[in-house]
Amino acid sequence: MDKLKQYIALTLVGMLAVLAGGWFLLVSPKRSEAADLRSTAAGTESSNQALRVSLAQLKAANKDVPKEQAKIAAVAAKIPDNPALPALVRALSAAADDAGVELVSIAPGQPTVVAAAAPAVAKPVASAATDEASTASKGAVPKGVVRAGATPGAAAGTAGSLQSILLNLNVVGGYFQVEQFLDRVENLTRAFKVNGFTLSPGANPVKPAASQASVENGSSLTAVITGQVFLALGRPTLGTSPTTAK
Amino acid sequence: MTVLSTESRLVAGVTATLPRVNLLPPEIAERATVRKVKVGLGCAVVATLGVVGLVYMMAASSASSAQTSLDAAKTQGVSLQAENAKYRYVTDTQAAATAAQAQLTTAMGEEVQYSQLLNDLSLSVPTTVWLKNISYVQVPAGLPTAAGVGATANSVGAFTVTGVGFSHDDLAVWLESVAGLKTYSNPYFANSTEGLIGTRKTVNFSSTANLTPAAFSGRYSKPQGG
Repeated sequence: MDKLKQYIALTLVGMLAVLAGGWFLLVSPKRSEAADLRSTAAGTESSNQALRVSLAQLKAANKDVPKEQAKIAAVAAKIPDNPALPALVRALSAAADDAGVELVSIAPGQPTVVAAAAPAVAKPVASAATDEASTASKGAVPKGVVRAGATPGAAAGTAGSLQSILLNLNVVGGYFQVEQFLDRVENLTRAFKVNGFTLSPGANPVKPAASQASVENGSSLTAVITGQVFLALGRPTLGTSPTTAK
Repeated sequence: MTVLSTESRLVAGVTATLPRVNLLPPEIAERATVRKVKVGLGCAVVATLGVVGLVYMMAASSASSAQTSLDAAKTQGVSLQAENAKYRYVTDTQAAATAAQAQLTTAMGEEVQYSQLLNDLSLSVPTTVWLKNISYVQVPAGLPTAAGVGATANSVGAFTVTGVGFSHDDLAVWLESVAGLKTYSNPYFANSTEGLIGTRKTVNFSSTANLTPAAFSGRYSKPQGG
């Protein structure tokens, strides 16, 4: 009977060993693996949920893209990506003609970087090459213009590097004609910021004989106007929506 | 029936009283018992192994199920990321529009519409005063203006005028009319000197004033619709 008891005891010990070994060596690692996988899956699902929300927001915002593009186009008209001096000269001449003043002189300065540039926004990598090509294709960037990315503080971001060109204009006309001219200049398609002006009696240099009397009675005034126009050098060209995106 | 019943009772009584004789040697009986116990113990070991195997299979099945879920979630994640990437241009466009608007505000935020100032001025010049020279100089915010006398921190530019009146009082009226306009502050004058135009006594004066932030048009700095 002792032998029988030994068998039973050994068997019980063996069973316990099998149970413990099976649990610790097989079952527990597998359960741990399963728990890890479930946790990872839950994390991934959570990320997916965030992506779903983001996607829904993007789809909703996609409807406003034309509005945003219109805003960008409106700003681009006010602040072109190159000096665009020919267009500016034509616009000023037309404004002078409309107001009835004589545009005697236009003197632009060299473009300079505006200190308080617009906040830079991360630039899409894909568009960088396009920008370079676009800027290069414009050619004729005047001397003194600092290229975007080469100047510390110049935001080579989504909006490009903001630069200004100082302008001195000399016009001759009556008080209200000068006022009209200023009004037209302030409402040009391109943004023109008048910084100041002086108004004093002065003759029209291209009509010397007839202007003397009008100078004396104050109906002919010379206005020296200082102002500035702007350009955004290196403004990237944004891509349009892909056809697959609905 | 009665006879059979009596017989049965007799047999039963005899059996109960007879001694029982076990001819099997105790060693053999013990071996049989041991064999039975061994078989039982073997069955118990096998059952234990079965239980361990079963539990392992359940854990493995759970792990496999979790792996399948994870694979599905990963696949969906890749798909969602790809779809999000398709809409990248939306955020790019929004960022570009915001940056462009900020750039325009930086450039034109402190715009003064001088045509409006000239118009206001033409309506407020006293009838006994004539302006000969007018000068406006705008300075960036925070810098002192040219009209330094009594200049305030709110000044955004300087306004200088030379003019003619019939008396010193006309200069006073002029200064009051300038002070009445919200776009000017601190009207002052440098001199007021009598003179003649023909035979008529006149007063030549030079005055200054500061431009206040009310002179800003706000066209580019105020939020749209605001």
